[in-house]
Amino acid sequence: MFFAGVDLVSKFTSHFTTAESRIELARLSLEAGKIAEMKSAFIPATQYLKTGISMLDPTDRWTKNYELCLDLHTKAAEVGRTYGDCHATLCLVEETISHARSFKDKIKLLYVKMFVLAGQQKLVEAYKVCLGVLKELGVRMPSNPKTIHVLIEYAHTKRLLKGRKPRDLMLSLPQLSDELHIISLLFLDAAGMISWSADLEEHTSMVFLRMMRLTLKHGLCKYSSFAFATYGMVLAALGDRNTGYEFGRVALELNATQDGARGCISSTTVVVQSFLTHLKQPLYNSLAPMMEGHQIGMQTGEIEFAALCLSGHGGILVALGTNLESLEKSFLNYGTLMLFTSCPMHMFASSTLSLLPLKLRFFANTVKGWLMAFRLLGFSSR
Amino acid sequence: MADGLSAPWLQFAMNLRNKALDPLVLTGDAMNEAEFVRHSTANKHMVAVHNMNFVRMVLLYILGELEGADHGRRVWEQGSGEGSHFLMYFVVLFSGLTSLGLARKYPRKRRKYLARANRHIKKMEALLRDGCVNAMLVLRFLLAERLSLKGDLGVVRKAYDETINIAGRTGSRLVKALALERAGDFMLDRGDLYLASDYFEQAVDEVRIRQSRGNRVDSVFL
Repeated sequence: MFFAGVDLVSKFTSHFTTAESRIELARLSLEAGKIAEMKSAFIPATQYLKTGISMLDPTDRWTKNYELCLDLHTKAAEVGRTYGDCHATLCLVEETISHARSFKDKIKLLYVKMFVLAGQQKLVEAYKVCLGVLKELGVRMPSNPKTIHVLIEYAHTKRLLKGRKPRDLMLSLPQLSDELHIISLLFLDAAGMISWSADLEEHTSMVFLRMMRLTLKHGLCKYSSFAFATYGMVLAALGDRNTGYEFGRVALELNATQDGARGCISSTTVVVQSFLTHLKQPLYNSLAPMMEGHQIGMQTGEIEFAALCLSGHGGILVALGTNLESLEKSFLNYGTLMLFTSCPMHMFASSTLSLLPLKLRFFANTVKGWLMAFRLLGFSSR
Repeated sequence: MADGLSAPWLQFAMNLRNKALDPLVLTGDAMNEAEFVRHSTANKHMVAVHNMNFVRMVLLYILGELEGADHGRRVWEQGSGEGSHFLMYFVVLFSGLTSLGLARKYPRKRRKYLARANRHIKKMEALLRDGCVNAMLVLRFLLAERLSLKGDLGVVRKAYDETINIAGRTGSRLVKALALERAGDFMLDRGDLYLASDYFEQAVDEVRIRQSRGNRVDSVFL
């Protein structure tokens, strides 16, 4: 009913001559765009938001109606990114950033920009955007980390853990309320994904460890599940499979208990099911969660991770020896689905999954060697 | 056309379904092997190349091209690794089976190939000690294959039967069909035609079951 009303009003925009009525229609369009996005109806959402923007006078919309204009542009950029309209979204983001009055107003846009660049295979550029935001937020990452940086980060994380078990951590850590720290974790989450894809091994390890470190330092939030999952993955790659698996289990529990964690289900699922669950459970147990992770990711806008879930699902089908006719159909369906959603993102997702083993082996080889050396020298972090 | 990780697997399925000109080359509707390598190398997506080599290794092993499979294994091991990703079972299984197959084929180089297979077996044993249930099937299959190199018929038969049972219980149909085929081959080598035909019949039944579900694949290699 609401959409019908907005549609009807939108058809007669020329009748809205007064500034007040046009602003009111812009507000309505924003609401309609948000609701349509929540229902994964990205094309209507884009239309509503475009109508909303067109209702504001281009000459003074950034001065007289700054808040509304910013909200409309930001939401349009977010929807564009989810829909995969990379070029138009990037133009919109650049325009909006040039008018934004504060860093806080730019954060959502920079997040969108980062993913759009990543979707265009400009991974290093995207990662630099991410590092820039993190620097502004007070999270300093080495620009060119080496294995020694990773080791130091690992030692810091281990020290903060104080030998506590993952479940104890979930119960004992406070709830994180500082918005800036939450945003830092959001950007670290994205940085991990992008650096992974860009073949930046040390950066990826640094990011995963830093996420866990920040969680231990400041408390739990909706992004903590991904931090727990990736830390578990690092531990499993280093040979501590039991603890790694435990971190994975707790990550999934955090998804169920933390407010707003639905937006992280896809990312957490792909890490836990690809790297940790199979360490203790039959492989076919991961099939349903992978598909669920994909569906939720598509709904919440985690499309990159949704694609990874789908690739993981296909990988498990292969490993289980599913009959090849249906396997062929599955892979063709995956391709069609991801191409429909966002062509560049599909390539991005495919390459990301294929990079995972290399990263972990590299990490395991280098860090194991260094840890051994440290232990021999009596610098054990335990 | 699929991309990245998916394309080699899609082409793998197509090759086994007789939808490629040369079943040993990953070229067809889903991808072009040479073009894929060139494009991935140019974009520094080397892992995509390694992944393709892994898929090729599996394909060549299934089609009985052990030397080609071994080459794929070498390239895979040089360039990448499996970490704790769930595909590690698949990697270990086919690397081990290839090495053991070559040890059978070239008795003079048996020690070299056995050493490789033993490495894989040790890895699965370590995983199993940590409670990794998925390592059981791979370990049993590799142990059965290793025993088949010199073990006595009763022991080997028991080892294959265990593998086949576990594969059946865990729903790993491809591994079950392979184990049945390998058991049949072993019995044939030992001159026990009765047991060999029994295993081959079971293998054919397994294929028929899969065919009834829409699969026409495994008859290629059985």
